[in-house]
Parts: sequence; C-alpha cells; structure tokens
Amino acid sequence: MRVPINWLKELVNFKQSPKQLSELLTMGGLETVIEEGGALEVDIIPNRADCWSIRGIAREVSALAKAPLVPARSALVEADKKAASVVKVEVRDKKLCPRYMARVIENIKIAPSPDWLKQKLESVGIRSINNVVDVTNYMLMELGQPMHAFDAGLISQGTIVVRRAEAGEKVKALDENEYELGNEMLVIADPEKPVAIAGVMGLANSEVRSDTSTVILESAFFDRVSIHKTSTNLKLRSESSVRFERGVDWVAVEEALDRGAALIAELAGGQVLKGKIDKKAGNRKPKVVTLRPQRVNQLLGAKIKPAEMTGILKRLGFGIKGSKISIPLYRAADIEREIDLIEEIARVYGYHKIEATMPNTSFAGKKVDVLDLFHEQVKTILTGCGLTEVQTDSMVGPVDLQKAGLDPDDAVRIANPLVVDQSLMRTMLAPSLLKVIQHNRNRQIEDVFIFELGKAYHPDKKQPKEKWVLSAAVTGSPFLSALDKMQADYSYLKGVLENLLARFGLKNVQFEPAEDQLFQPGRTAQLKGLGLLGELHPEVARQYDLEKTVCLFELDLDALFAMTRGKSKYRTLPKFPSVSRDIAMFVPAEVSYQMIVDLIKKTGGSLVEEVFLFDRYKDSQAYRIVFRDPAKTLTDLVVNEKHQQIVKAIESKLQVRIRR
Amino acid sequence: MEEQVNQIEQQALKAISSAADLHQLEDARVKYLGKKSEFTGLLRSLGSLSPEKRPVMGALINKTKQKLQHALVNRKTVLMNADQQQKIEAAKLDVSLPGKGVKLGRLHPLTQTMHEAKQIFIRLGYEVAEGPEIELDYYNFDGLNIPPHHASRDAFSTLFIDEHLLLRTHTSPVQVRVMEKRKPPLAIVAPGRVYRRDTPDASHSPVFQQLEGFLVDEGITFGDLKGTLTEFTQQMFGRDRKVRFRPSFFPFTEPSAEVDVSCMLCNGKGCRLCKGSGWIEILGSGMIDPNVFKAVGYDPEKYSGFAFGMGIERIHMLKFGVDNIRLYYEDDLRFLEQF
Repeated sequence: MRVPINWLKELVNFKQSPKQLSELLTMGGLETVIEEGGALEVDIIPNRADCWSIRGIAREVSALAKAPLVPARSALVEADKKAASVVKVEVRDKKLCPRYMARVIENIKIAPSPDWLKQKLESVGIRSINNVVDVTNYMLMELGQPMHAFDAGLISQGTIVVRRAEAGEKVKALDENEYELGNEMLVIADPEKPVAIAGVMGLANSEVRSDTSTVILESAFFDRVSIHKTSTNLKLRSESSVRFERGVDWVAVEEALDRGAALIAELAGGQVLKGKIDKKAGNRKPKVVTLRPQRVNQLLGAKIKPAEMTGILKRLGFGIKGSKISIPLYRAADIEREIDLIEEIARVYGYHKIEATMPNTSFAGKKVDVLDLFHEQVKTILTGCGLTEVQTDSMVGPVDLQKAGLDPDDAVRIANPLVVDQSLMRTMLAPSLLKVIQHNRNRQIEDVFIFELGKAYHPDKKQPKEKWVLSAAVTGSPFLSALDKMQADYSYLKGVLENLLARFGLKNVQFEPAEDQLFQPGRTAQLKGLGLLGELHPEVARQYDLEKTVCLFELDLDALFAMTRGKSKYRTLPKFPSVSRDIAMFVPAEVSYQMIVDLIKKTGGSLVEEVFLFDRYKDSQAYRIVFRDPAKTLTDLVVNEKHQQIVKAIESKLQVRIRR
Repeated sequence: MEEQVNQIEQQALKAISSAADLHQLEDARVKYLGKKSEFTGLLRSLGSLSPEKRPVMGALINKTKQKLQHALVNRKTVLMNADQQQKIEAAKLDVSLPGKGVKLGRLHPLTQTMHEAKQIFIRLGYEVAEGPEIELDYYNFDGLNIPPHHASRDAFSTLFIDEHLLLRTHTSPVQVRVMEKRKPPLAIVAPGRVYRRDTPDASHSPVFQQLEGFLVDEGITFGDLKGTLTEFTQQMFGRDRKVRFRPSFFPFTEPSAEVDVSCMLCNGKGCRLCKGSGWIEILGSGMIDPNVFKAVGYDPEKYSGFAFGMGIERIHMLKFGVDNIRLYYEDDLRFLEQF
C-alpha cells in the first residue's frame, strides 16, 4: 500500500526521517520501502486488516516510534429534517451484514473536488471523480472504511433492502461489466432491483450523477467470508472487497459515516439530515484476554518487565486492567488470544533483543529415515556409474504420455491447470527423460547419460498413490575421451543396473525377455516385480526425433527398497583354495546365457562357487566354473566328476554341442 | 703359457668391452670363460706343469679369471642400463592425451543443496520425514489454522485435483501428519516438492522444492528458534553472514518471523540483488500456533515449538548466482555439469 509521508504526518506526529521510518516499520513487521514522490510502499501482511489505511499505518508508527497520534477533527452540523423520513433500511440477512449505517445529504451540487482533495487522492493513485465520490474514497484511504454513495432519486420508494441475490440475477457494475450473481451473495437493493454488490462494487443504475441532489451515504460492516467468496466467484476485486474480506473496524463504520457526511456537506454545499440509520445485530464490545507476563517470557525466552509489556500494549491502543487486556475493535480481526498479544509484545519490543539460544531437548525415540538414506545411496551409485541426475516436472501434458504410448486417462488430473502441458500427474518418469534427451540433442549434446529418482502418481480410492520410481536413459558415448568409440546400448545400461543391484546384495535378479510398447522387441528385459530395461522402440524414438540408440530402464524403487532390506550379510573368508574348469560349446540361439548358468549351478550344487562367460564368438561360448569346498581342499577326482556331470547335463538338457 | 694367458686376457677384455648388447656379451663369456674355452683348457692343462710352476700359474689364471668376470659384470650392468633406457625411450608417450574411462555423473544441484540443508539439521539431531504431494485440503490448510474461505488461503494459489484433494502448496502438512501420529519431543525436517498455480518466469516455477522443519518439546522458546536458524543460516551461507529476524505472518505460527541474511553480493551495503536493503530473505519461521497443537491433540500449555520452511531453489540461486529458476527443471547438461 502506498502511504504518502505528508498525509501520514497529518495523523501522527513523528520526527523520524523516511529512511528511519521504513526501517522501523520493516522491523516491526510491515516491510517498507521508500518510493519516489515522498511516499512509502508498505507491504501489508494478510492478517493486518487494520493496516489497510493511512490511519492504520499511523497507529503502527505511533506504537513503534513512540509518537503521539493527532486526533481527527470533524464538525458535523445536522439539519432539522430527519434522515429517516427520506430513507428506510431493511437488513434481511444479519449474518452477512451485521451492521448497516446510512446518512442522507440533501441539496448538494455535484462538482469537481477542490485541489487539495484531488491531490490527496492522486498521491495514492486514485482518479478524482467528483466532490461526493472523492469523499468516500478519501475516507476509504484514510480510515480503511469502504463507503458508497447512492443517488437517492434512483432508489425506489426510498427503501434500501440488504438481501441475498437471487440465483442467476444479472447486474451491470460500475466497471461496465455484467455479472451473474448466486444466492450466496449479498446485494444492496431497493424494492425493485439490486443497486450494489454488497462490499464489492456499486451498480451503474444508482450511481451519483452530475444532476444528483440527494445522496444516501452507506457505511457498513459485512461478513468477511461472504465478501471473499463473492469476490472470488465473480473474479472481481476492489479496494472495498480487499478490506471487507480482511475485516473492517466496527467503530470506524460510524466514524467514517459522520466525517464523510460532514465533508460532503462542506464541499457540495448541502445539508446533512438529522440522525443516522444504524441497523445492527447487537453491539460489539472489545474482547478481554488475560495476559500472563511469565508466559510471555517463557515462550519468548526473554526477560521483558511486565511494565514494559503493558507499555507496548498501551501504545498499540489496548486497554489494560491488571492482567486483563481489552482488544480495540480495529484489531478484532487478528487478535483474540494471549498468544496474539505475545506476538504484539515481541515485535514491538524487538526480535533482535531476544537472545538466541539452542533448544534443550532430548533425542529419545529419534531415528534415521532409512528410505531417505537408501535414495541418497542409489543416487550416489548411479553418478559413480556415469549417470547425471535430472529433475523433471511432475506435471505433464496428455501429449507427453501419448508419445510414450501411455493413456492420459490413467493419470491423476489437475482440475484447474495453468496450461494443458501441466494438467496431469506423470505416471512414469521415462517419457520425461526422453524429453530431456531431446532438449539436449537439440543443443548439439549427443552423449546423454541421465537418471531421475522421483515420484509417479496413480489414481486410487481415497488419495492417489505416490510411488518412488527410478528411471534412467542413456545414449551416445559414456567415455571421457572420444578416442573410445563404444556407444551405449542395452548391455551397457544392463551393466549399470547390475552394478546397482550388486551394491545392495542382489546378485540373482533375473532378466527375462519381455514386450512393452516403449521398448524394442527382442532388446527388452523384465526384472520380476521391479520393472523393465531395454532399448527404445524405434517408433517411440521417432516421436522424439531421436536417431541414435537410446536405452532405458524404469524400476519400482519401493519394491527395490523392500528387496534390499537385510541383504548384506557377513560370511567368513574361504580357507581352502578353489579349482576351476572351462567348458567351450556351440550354443543355438534359443538357449540363453541364463539357462546355461542356471543349469551349471543346479547340477554343480553347493560346490560351484561362481560361473562366468569369458569368451564368446558367434555361437561359440566358453564358460569358467569355479569350484570350492568350504570345509576341505578339493581333489581332482571330485572336481572332474562334478565337471563331467555338468558337461553331460548341458549336452542332454540343452541340445548344446560341447567343444572338446 | 704366461704369455698365452696374457693374450687371452687381452682378447677377452677387448671382446667384453666391445660387446654391443647382452647377446654379444654372453657370446664373449662362452668363448673366453665357458666350459669349452681356451681358458678352461689352460686350467685343465695345469696338471701337466711342474710342481713349482703349478701354483704360480694357477694363481695367475685365477686372477685373470676374476678380472674377466669382473669386467663381464661391469659390462653387463652398463648394457642392461642402456637396454632399459632404450625401452623407456621407446615407451615415451604424450602425457597430455585424454584419459580413459567413463565420465562420472553428477547429482542435480537441487539434490546437492537439499542434502546440504538436510545434513545441517541431521547433525543438530533432526530426523527426516516425508508426506504425500497430492494432499488432503485438511492437512494443507485446516490443520494448519487456515480455515475454509479464509482470505489467507488465496496467498497459496492452489492447484486442485478435486474438492478435497490438492497439490500441496507447502511441506507444512508433514508437521500435522507427524504430530498426529507421535508425541513430543520431535525434531523433524521434511523435504519435498510443492506446487503453486504460478505462471512460470525467472523467479517462479509451478513446481519447486521446500525443506520444512519443526521442533516440539516442553519449554521451547523463540530464542531457540533464533539460535537454531542462525546456526543453520551461518552454516549454509558462511560464518561471516549476519542474520536478522523480522516479524511477519503465517497462519500456522505465532509469533512469526522471516529470516534475512546479509546480502552475499554487496555484504549488506545495498545492491541490485537485495534491492538496496542489504538483506536477503531466505526462510519463513515462527512458534507453532496453539491452534495447530490443538488440532493434533497436544496441550499448548505444556508443549511449545518452532517451525520453519525454505525454498531450495532460492537458496541454490543465491549461493551460485543462478538467475533463472526454470533452469532447474529443464535439465540442460551444460547447466547441470556446472555444480
């Protein structure tokens, strides 16, 4: 909010320079900067409804700078004729309108405002309209009380009805736009038609015109929630609605009415009729809260003297009777408990004067988050394997999913997305990684080795399921030097994955042939219960405009986490030597490496410590089998017998020809 | 015979010293000292000499043999050194050529900064906890003292899934979820993604990351909040940074404080980064509001605590001078490889 320093000076007698003033307000809780043209720009935090006016800021300055407030002067002269003879007010919904006040000013002459008023409004960025409307805006800015002036001649039967709108009722507001109202919204009406959207904006049908001679001046107190709903639903914000939805001052409703009426009469030359209409649902009295000085110091960790506490509250306008603190009505919107008073004391006393300490607390029951630790380990291992971590948006568009062959209907949908490209929650991470490869490729970066550890989201009954997923995508050369020519393919990424699994003690995860729309048939493996690994399907690659081989995996990380628990165990180191034997064979295409290894292990039993493929050319393969007995040194006799059993088994069960 | 010995000596010494490599040297050894050599022949023929001459000649031959063996060893050393030298010469390479091996990957800058922030609190005794990103409105708002239709809900431009489900606008719901399940003492940090319906620009991203933290026990004070967050800020930004606490408003804390750190660019003098104020806002914090405690069944007279939240992108941007938040989710490798 813009606060002209000269205007502020009319309301509070301070000696501080603008710089000191802005520092004082900032450290008191209202961030303030100095603007050009002798004004401050004050950032009003949402709970400080009372600060949405020059007087509100003046009160803050008074409390923070210990400067006296200047009382407002107003000389209201009433005519003999009674206001009640001109206007009747009927409030039909006292919950949404707890107080409605009005005065009538007759025989006025609409004219431009005097220069002092014009300049005043200009200094806060409001355009001058005429000597009546300007007065309402003057009160709005100075006291924070929104007011409205109706042309009495346009109010049918001189009767104002405060009622809920009828559903579908259409009105044309002062901003020239038409609005369709709902029956939860409050309107000011006459017996025939609405004349204002209560607390938000007046309507064109009753505004003050150049020939207006009698005005009805409205000053009211509307329900905060109702005004907020109306303004949100109509997408219509005004200087009035902003203040009503935060809460206005019960007392200032009347003060603004009296000062406004007197000023209109002064500037437009009319008479204020006798009496004021005041329809209210009971009277509001300041709430009283008990303050325990020891509680203040206990919570703040400070040693503020009780007299200093009451001094601060007094400067803020609170009433004090021993430990009973009465809250001025202009603070009713944000102060209702002892804790709120503690905050007031702390901020005016100065946060900087409270000593910084370290908490004295026990660490009983605290534990390490093993999942978080696991995630960090996974990330570290993959970076060691040459993959760079990326983080992509969790919100995607239907096109992103469709490109990867996924169904947008399977995704959690955002009801009010900003753009369609961010209207769904991703169900898989791989499509986002492909986008990253494409982004980099378009910038001449050909070697992309990336992974993301993040969440995928799936609709579920009460609350969508969020699953931790690990996805990787690689393309190009992984090497430091371009002298190394190898390009990443299926087996390269499988190696990365094997390293990761081995690090968590998972040595026997099986890679079985699988099919999936994202991957190229014949170059895709499924890891049971974990996910898929494979080369990108050429059709999908085309969607992303990728020519080079791209290899991907996507794993259910929650499942992997569960599998890794308790996997690492200590075994004593072997005491006896191992013996190894090699087998060379011609392997037909239908027989997989896994089948051969499984058969060797099964046939060899516990004596086989390790089997590995060490040579491979066309269909010729050579395996080395390492035998070891943990209890004794193996003899050739035993090893040869086992080895012969293995050779026979391979020949008879796999139709593989052994090379001899 | 004496003459013969001398002659052999002369020839042998010549052959040894002129051997160009180890092979020639070996040939020379076989020729002059081998079993079939003249020299060995001479030794054998000693028996035919008179008893007086025998010891004299024997001594001479032995002396000569030692001399020759000595010469052989010397020459061998010389030749071996030369041979090694030659191999070394041949093996010379351009030591500036690129190395072999796989290029290491990196952690995302936000992961690095999140880790750093998290670790500071873990060292102070905090635990890590997490909660859902697609959250019930109760945990995102009501449980945090933000009632329905309250103007303060507008401050969080929210993305909704349906009437009661939304993308959490902050990590604070984790406070409520943890407190519902457990009793104090609690010291928790909660990292995670949050969402706002903000149009993307250099400083706004609809998705970003926060680290939330809170500590609850008997007798926790605002002074403890100051001490803890001063410690954090100085570990994160440097011991020479000044820290200030400025009154502010959050619905779920009372009193509330923004934490500012003295500007790292101008050292507090005032510049473009700190908009002339000399201070940069890095954290929101406050004493947990009694209404939040009541909602989870804690007695606010018995327990007190503080909570805080920070944006991870913002901290990384400040530490490294990054000028566009969108870079973090674009994943251009030329950006990621800078950290």
